[in-house]
Order: sequence, then C-alpha cells, then structure tokens
Amino acid sequence: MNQTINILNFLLLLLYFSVFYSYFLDFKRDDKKFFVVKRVLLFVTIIYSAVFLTILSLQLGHLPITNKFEIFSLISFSVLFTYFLLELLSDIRGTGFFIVGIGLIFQIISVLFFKMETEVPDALKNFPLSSHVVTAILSYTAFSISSAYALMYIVLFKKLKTSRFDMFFQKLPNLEILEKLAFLSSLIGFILLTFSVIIGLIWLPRVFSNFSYFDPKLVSTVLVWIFYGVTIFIKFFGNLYGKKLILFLLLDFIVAVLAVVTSSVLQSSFHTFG
Amino acid sequence: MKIIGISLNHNTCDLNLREAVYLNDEEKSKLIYLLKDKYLSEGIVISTCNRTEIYGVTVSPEISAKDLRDAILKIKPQIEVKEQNYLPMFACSAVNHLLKVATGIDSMIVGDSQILGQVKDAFLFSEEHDFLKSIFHRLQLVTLKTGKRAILETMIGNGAVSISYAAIKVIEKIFNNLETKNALIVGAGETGELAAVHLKDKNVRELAITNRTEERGKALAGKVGGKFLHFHDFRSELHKYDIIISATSANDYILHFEDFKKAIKKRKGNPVVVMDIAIPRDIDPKVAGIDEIFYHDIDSLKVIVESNLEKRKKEIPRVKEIIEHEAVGFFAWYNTLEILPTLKLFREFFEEIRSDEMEKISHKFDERQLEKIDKMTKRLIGRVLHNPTLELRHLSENGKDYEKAAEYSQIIRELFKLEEK
Repeated sequence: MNQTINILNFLLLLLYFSVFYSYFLDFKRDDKKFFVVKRVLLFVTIIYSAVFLTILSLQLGHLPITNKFEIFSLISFSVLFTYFLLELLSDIRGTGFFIVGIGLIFQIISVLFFKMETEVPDALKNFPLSSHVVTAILSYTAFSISSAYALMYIVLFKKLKTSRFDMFFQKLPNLEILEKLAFLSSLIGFILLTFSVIIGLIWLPRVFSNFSYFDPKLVSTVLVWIFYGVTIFIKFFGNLYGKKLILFLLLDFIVAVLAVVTSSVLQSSFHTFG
Repeated sequence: MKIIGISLNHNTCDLNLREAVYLNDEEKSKLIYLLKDKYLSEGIVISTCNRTEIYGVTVSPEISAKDLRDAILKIKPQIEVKEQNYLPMFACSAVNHLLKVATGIDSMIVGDSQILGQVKDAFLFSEEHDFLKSIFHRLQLVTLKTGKRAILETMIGNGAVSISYAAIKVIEKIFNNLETKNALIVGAGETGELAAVHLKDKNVRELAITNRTEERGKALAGKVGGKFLHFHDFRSELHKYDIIISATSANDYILHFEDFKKAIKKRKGNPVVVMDIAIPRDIDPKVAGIDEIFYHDIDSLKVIVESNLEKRKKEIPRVKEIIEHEAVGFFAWYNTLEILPTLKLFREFFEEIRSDEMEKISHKFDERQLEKIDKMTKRLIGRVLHNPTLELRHLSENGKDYEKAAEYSQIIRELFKLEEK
C-alpha cells in the first residue's frame, strides 16, 4: 500500500506540474484556449488531491498532519483550493501562475519527504490536536498566499514606476486589488493562527507533561502572531496602505519563515510530530 | 445577378479625397435612390472618415464598379475620383472585403472597435430605405456574425491603441475603482478632451479641467460634466486629485517638482498618477523620483500603443480564417440561388419530353401498362439527371468552385437551350 500511496503522490506532483505549466502558458501567451485548459486542469488536480488525502487519511487512521510529507500534502492542497475559490469568486486572473507555483513547491517537498507513519501517539489522533494543527497549517497557507500577492504588488509597482509595460504589467491585476488580496489573506491567516495558538495553549499543557511556555515552536509562533497582529492593527487604526503595507506584510512573512526554520532546528521534546 | 462593390479607403485615397467623398445621411439617401433606380436591386452604402463603400447586387450583368463610382460622382460632382482611387470588387472579393472591414482588419488602426457598429448602421440605413432584399439580409447576418466572432474568438480588438486610452489603461493598473478617484485634466485641446472623455466614461468621482484659455476650458468642462479650475491657481489644489493628465501646448514645464512635493505632503502619502501626454512635456520628469507618484510621459505610453498594435496585427491570420469560414458558408447559400433555376429548368425540360412521349403512346397501351411505363420513364430521367444535379449542387455549395458551377450551369443552359424555353 505504501508503494501505491507513493505512486499516487508522485502522480499528484505531475498534475501540479501540468497545472503550473498551463498557468504559465496562459500568463505568457495571449491565447484564450489556455484559459479553459488551465481551469479544467486545476479543478481535476483539486479533486484528485482531495481523493488522495482522503485515501491517505483512511490508510493512516488519522488526519495527514503528523509528518512533513503529510503536512506539505495538506498545505499544497489548501493553497490550490484557496486559489481556486479566489479565482472563481473574484474573477481575478493572472495571479494563478504565482500561487500555483507555491503549491507546486510544497508538493515537491511532500514527495521528497515521503514517509508512511501509521503508528503515532494517541495524543496526536484526537480532535483538539487536529484543530490545532489544521488551523496552524491553514494560517501559514494564507500567509504564503499573502506574500505571493505582496511580491506581485512589488513587481507591478516597479514596472509602473519604470514604465516597463511587459507581460507582468498586462497580466497582473491592479495594485489596489493586489494590496487588498495580500491584506485579506494575511488577515485570514492571522485569525486562523489566533485559533491555533488559543487551542494549543489550552490543550497542550493538559496532554504533555513536559510542556513549556518557552518551547521554541510556541515562542516563534507567538512572535509571528505579534508581527502580523501589529501590521493589522496599524492598518485598521493607523495610516498604513499601499507600498508601506506591502513591505510590512513581506517583513511579517520573512519573520514567519525564519520562525518556522529556527523552531525546526531548535526542536523541543514535546512539540515535534514528524 | 452578381454581387459587386467599390471601395474608396485609406489605402486608395489621401485624406483630402476621403473627406471630400464622405457622405452624410442625406447624401447616402440620395445615392441609394439613384442606385436603386439604375444599378442595384439591393445593397448597402458605408461612409466613414476613412472609407466610402458601396456593395450591392446588380440589376444587369453589364453594371460595373465604374458605374458605382459614377453614381457617387453624381452626388458629389465637385470631386475627382481616378481609377487608382477606388477598389473595384466582384463576387467573392466584394464579400471578403466587407467582412474584412467589419472585423476591423482593413481599418487604418487594426481592430478598430467602431467599424462593426458603422457597418451595422449601414445595413439598418439600407433597410430603412427598402434597399435590403434576401441576399443582403443574409449578408447582414453573416457580416455581423463574423465581426462578433472576430471580437470574441481573437484578440483583434484587445489593448489600447491611442495615447489617451493607453494612459487610462495604465491608471487602471494602479487604481481598482476610478469611481472613487478625482481627476484633473490640464489643457483642453484635442488630446486633453479625449482623455477627459475616457475618464468620464470610467465614471471618475470628480473631473476638473484647467486651461489657459478660460472659454475653451469651461466648454470642455461643460461637455464632460466636470468643473473648471482657473489656470493661475490650480496648482494649489493639486493634492485633491488622484489622477493628473497634462496635455497643453506650453513650451516649458507648467508643473514642477516642488508643486508635487507639496501636494504629496498634503495627501499624506496617497499615490497620484501623473500622465504627461504633451509635446514638449508639461511636467518636470523629476517627479517620477517621488515614491508616491506614478509618472508617465508620451514616450512610455507610445510603447503600449505600438506593442498592442503589433499584437493585433498578429491576430489577422486568425481573423482571416473566420472570414474564410463565414464567406464559404455565405457562398454555399448564395451559389445555390444561381444554380437552382438552372436545375429547375433542366428537370422541366426532360419532364416535358417525357410527358410528350407518354402522350404519343397513350392510345397504344392500357391504363395499367401506361402506369408502369410512366413510373419507368420517371425513374429513367431521375437516374439520368442524378449525377449532373449532384455535381452542380456540390460545386455551388462548397463555395470554392463558384466559377466552375456558373460555367457548368451556363453550358447546360446553352446545350439544352433552356433560356429559349
């Protein structure tokens, strides 16, 4: 069965490549035929991915949140699914190439770290942990999407300032839309991370006897939460918009990435699952 | 009868002649009455700033494009149209040309968005003058369908192809909703007016016009429903505007770095789009260095226009495919109109012979035998005529062998003396 799951995961990676390539072609060329092809491929990939994750969960006997392979499979799915909804609801085109690219990177990581782990501690199989981890994963997905929009903003901003009206100028939505999408994604990520932190702070001390408030993962997550929180606070109550807001969001994302990397290096005894 | 056409356009005439030959509605009416009277049973007249064209179905085979030119000259006796000034068209070439015009690939600016509407109006005008019959009704449907297909299935109409519209396109890459933005137009000349009209179409919240000549500025403000700002003190109000488009004929800068620096300070960092579409420039290009200002001049906007035109030109082969497809469909229908009378006469000719011979032998056989012979002769004629009928139909319906079908039709008519019949 492990072999089958591995093959299915690899096939999923190929689908991600095809979606990415079709979005790339649509971005690069002014050809209406790619518009339909890319959407169909995206839809097929999402359905395949959902079926794959369901099979994986049934096979493992728990949600796929216990190691890098499982987590990155889930993140890449959530990136694609979030983007699918965004494209469908907002009808904003031209950004898929970047967002699908993020999903592809996560899926590559998932394939690289393939590992079937059926035996996990009981604590990791219950509902609070699932909610804690899933909301954390979704929040980082939202932060990743936010950073992609922020980067698109910077690219378009530079093109507009230097009067370089190339492919990026033509395909990307306007600056105000990119700013809005970047901020909304980070806001959603912040709300999800808030839930994750609250659930974690209530549930972890009860389950793990070696729980520590100085756990690197906990400290770094709270730090990320503070950074995003400050940005959102200034946005709502101060004078933060346009390029300044985008730079704040990019800084927040850099902090988030550093936090994840650092806490992974400084693994604590209880807060490591995979 | 045949379809013919004549075109005086930007490829065959200079601007003076095109302007002189332009027909207003009254002149078009007169021309249609004249054409109906002598030359065409049905047709259309298109007259725009870049072309004057007539398409129609001749009342007799001798009518030529030269007669159509003469008809125009009767309405416009003061002008001179030489042979090289007009393009004569016959049958397929006339229909193809009309479809090219409707899709905008024959326009001066490739993919012109207005031409399809003008062609549509020409058909309606003819209809109002009882100048549209079955053939041009059909051609109307085909023409409008082809024009719409070109827009929907290709990118022939995509992208801005004028400096003013390119400026608006850039503005739309910065602001999402222009209905919440204020715009200022500096200069009420032709370019400024065009920009003002585009901005009005986009429903900007407030549109202000300033111009050195107050009268002209106020006139434009009135036209676009904007407000007028006095030229000597409009700089103090710069900070109120998110979009500033300057298009004056001033020889020196009229807006300087310091003016914008002050404005940005008052705007608390809110971005401003500054479009300098004047030659020479109206605004100090140093303002581009201010982070909150998106500054563009005519050179940078020209890049957009040229690149869009280039892209539109690349779409021409795809539009031509659509034209060919629709033209073939039209001629498949049209050619059957020419062939059907021949086939009818051909069958009537054989039926007459058969009936004649049946009559001659009617007294020699009883009723039952006659019935059998009648059926047999009908089958016989049916089989004899089957292949020529099919071949003629095939030639006419495929739309490509129109001339061959016409030639065969003529041979049949001559060999069997069908005309005399």
